[in-house]
Amino acid sequence: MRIKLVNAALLVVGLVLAADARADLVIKITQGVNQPTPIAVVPFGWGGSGASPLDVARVVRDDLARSGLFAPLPPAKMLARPTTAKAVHFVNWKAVRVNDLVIGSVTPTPSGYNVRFRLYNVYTGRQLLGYVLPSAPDALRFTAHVVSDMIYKQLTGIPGAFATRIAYIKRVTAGKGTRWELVVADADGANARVVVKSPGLLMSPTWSPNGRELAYVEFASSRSHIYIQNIATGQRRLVFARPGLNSAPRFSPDGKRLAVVLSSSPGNPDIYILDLASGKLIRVTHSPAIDTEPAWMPNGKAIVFTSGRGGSPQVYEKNLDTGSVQRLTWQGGYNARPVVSPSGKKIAFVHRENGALHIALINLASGNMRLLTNGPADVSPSFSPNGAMILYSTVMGRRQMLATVSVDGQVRQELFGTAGTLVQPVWGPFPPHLAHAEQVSTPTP
Amino acid sequence: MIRVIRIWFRDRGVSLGLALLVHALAGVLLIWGTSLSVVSPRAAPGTARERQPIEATVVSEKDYLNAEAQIRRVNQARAERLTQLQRRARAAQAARKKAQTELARLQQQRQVALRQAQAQQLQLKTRQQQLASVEAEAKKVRAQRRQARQQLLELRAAAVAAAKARQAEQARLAKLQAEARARTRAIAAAKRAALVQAAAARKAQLMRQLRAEQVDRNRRALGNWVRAIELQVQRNWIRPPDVATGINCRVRVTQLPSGQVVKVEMLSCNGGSVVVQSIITAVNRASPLPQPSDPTIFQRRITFVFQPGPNQ
Repeated sequence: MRIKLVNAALLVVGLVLAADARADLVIKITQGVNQPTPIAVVPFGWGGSGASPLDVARVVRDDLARSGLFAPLPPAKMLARPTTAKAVHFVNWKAVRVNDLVIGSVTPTPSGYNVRFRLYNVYTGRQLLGYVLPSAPDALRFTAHVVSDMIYKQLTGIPGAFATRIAYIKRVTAGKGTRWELVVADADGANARVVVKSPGLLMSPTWSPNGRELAYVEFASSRSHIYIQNIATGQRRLVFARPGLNSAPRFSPDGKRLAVVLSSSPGNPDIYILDLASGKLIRVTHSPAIDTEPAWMPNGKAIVFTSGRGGSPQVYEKNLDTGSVQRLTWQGGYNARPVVSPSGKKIAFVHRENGALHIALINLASGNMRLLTNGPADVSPSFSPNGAMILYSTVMGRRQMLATVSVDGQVRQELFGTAGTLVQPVWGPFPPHLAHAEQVSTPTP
Repeated sequence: MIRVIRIWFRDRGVSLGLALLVHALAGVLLIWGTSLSVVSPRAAPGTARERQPIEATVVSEKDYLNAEAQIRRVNQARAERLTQLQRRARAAQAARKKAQTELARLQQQRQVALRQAQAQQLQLKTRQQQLASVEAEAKKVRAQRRQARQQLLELRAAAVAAAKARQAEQARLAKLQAEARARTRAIAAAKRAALVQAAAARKAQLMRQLRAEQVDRNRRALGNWVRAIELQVQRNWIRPPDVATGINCRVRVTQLPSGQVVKVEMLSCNGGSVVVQSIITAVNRASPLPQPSDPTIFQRRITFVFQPGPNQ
């Protein structure tokens, strides 16, 4: 008995020692939540006189919210509104359960404004970003988008695409007539600017990789023409005006080639590639069925397109080196208008199901297809340059308008400031900027 | 014949009368003194001879007158003689009376003597009887005594035997009692020992059970606690988009017993800064961590291994 007790005691001691000597309790985390990150963007301070020219924080909040990855705290729920580092007390932000905090200020300068901002992790108290961004007087909104991009990049690892532009076609009904406009706007729909006005139908705008040019189709005198136009100067050049159909231009990723759809005299559209420098035209598809709506793979070595060769519109991929063609969509009787994600791993397209048109996404690696939108008439998908969102055309009530959806399908949002009949949106590339951003302090790692 | 009788009477008248008287007296005496043993031996034969002539008497008239004259003479004579006789009788009676008295006296004396003798005899007899009785009594007493002595002896022997027997019995009883006591003690001791052993066994069993239950409870409590923490951290880990599969990050969290996270150290992580930041935020955001149901299983340091699977 005593021996047993002693043994038991030793055992207990052993267990305690073992527990003590053992490594920490190990808990494996295999899941997280796909929820937007709660973040507080405190209204920026204004260093000038009078009213602030722009609520930068609000632009940032809207950008972040639209991405689907962030849930900005409404200012009404903020317990404090610091604009300087010294005024920050993290307990105020832990109390409202936000992970991150953005404070900032705008001060006037002789050449415009300085936008100063800091990003903190509320739980560690570390400053993750701290920058002063000089802004031209008319670029304050753009600078706000840049701030959004930097925050987005810091917190998601993905470049932000808020300081980008989009292009779309607007149909304007004025009096008896109808005219079409090619419009360029900020990614949030603001700053819309008409680039082309035409009494004839405008179609299929597409961005050059450097963001300086747009290619598009204009119908004039019942004939279709393909133009490439410099956005800044407004100068344009006619690329195709062949008999029959000239449509669906798409710049190659290096910008040196243009994929187009041309119909030969019998009227069967096929895909061609034009070498912009040499003017050399290569026929890509030879099918007796319709082949149209080309999109480049990011490596420029393959083209994804819509074809009726299988009896119904489906998405195919043609390897430009080998010439092999591969069908990519198998689900449903209508899959068309493909666009390739910047990573080349996903393809968005229009999927028809029960008479409704949805934006669908297929993962090329797995072949899994997912519907991102509910319809009933969601068409013309276009990836944001960071691949995180898709811009598309939708119908809400009687209005044809533009909307965005996050690639996970979680957040769909109508673009503000885009009233009218808007179709065929395309998201522009990253702008070559941000070289002039200046760190206010070294972000702690 | 009559003559004869007369003669006989003449000869014998007085004597006859006397004899008759004596005989009568004697007869009286006989009748009276049957109880006496003394009888006159002389009178007895004369009495028996005179009785026969009386029975043959027949008498005629002349005879009668003669007889009468004679009777008168006789009567006279008789009266004379009677007187004489009476005298004599009186004398005799006196003598007889004297004799009788004397006899009575003698008889009385004899009687007294007899009575005395009888009394003496009786007394003797009584005494003898008494003696015999006494002797018998004494004998009896002696016998009784003997018997008593015998009995006493026997009793004594019996008493001794009884005492011995009693002693033996007592000894036996004492022995039995001692044995019984010893047995009782032994049984009680055995019972006690059995009880103690049973109690010890039960205790040991209970302790084993208790330990097992404790271990089980601890394991369950630990499992529940780990699960609760895991859920809480997972709920608070906002997984960055496009996190590559194959991420493996170890973060050590130090907590207070309240569950308050006080220290977070990234031990290793093959993900980028966004992943690191998200994990650090997650474990901080999960603070205070759930407390265990049993405070003894609390562990201050927890290493979380973030190993997410594919996102979709």
